[in-house]
Amino acid sequence: MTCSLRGIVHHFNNRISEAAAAWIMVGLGIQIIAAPVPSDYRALNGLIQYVSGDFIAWFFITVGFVRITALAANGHWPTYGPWLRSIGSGAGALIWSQMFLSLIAVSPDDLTSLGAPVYFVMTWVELISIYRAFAMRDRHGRFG
Amino acid sequence: MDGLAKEAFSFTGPFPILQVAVLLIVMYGIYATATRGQRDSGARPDTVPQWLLIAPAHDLIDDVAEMAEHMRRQTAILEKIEASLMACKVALELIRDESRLR
Repeated sequence: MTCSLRGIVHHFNNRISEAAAAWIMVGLGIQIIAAPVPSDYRALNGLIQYVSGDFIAWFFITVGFVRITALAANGHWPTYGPWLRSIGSGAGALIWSQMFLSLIAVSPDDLTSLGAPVYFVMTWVELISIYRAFAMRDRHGRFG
Repeated sequence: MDGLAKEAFSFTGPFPILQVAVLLIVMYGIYATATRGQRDSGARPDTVPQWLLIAPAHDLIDDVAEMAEHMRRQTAILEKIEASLMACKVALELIRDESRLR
């Protein structure tokens, strides 16, 4: 992979959304570490009842980096690559859906965050990514 | 039943129940997409689906076979015509040679 814009697009091909989701996860993890819970992270209200903020941050960073590694391998791990991508996408779908729920399950007066549609769409994108990781693994080789 | 539901809601609040419901829905989505992906992984996009061969394509194959049969018959007729022409040519040459001898 070259570091040009064309090289990046050619390398990730139709998996650019997966790469974006992985980098978003890493970014969220870094943000939570930089400004630890309890900050005003309304999207995490539902999750911090069960797990700590640090756990969420490191979960994001770990899953994000695993997904980026699997995507960077780009078909060189034909057996494990799709599984790693699918597990990462599944974890992402679960956590995005819970964050979406945390934002919308409040009174209408508190609906001030614009993240709800983002998390909702991300949930669907992750589910589609799971399908693509399995369905395309034998079809397009490096471009699966 | 209503009393049980009220007791459950008062004990946990509605939010954890919603969380579990969404969790289950998303987990089912993961299961469905993963199994569908596994099933579709062997399918080739350029494979002609079987249903496509039922009507128009099937008729086309019949027509092509019929055209091939006609062509075969025409070839046989042309071969017969060629053989007849050769026989005529030989006969005309014989007539010409005999007329020269006279």
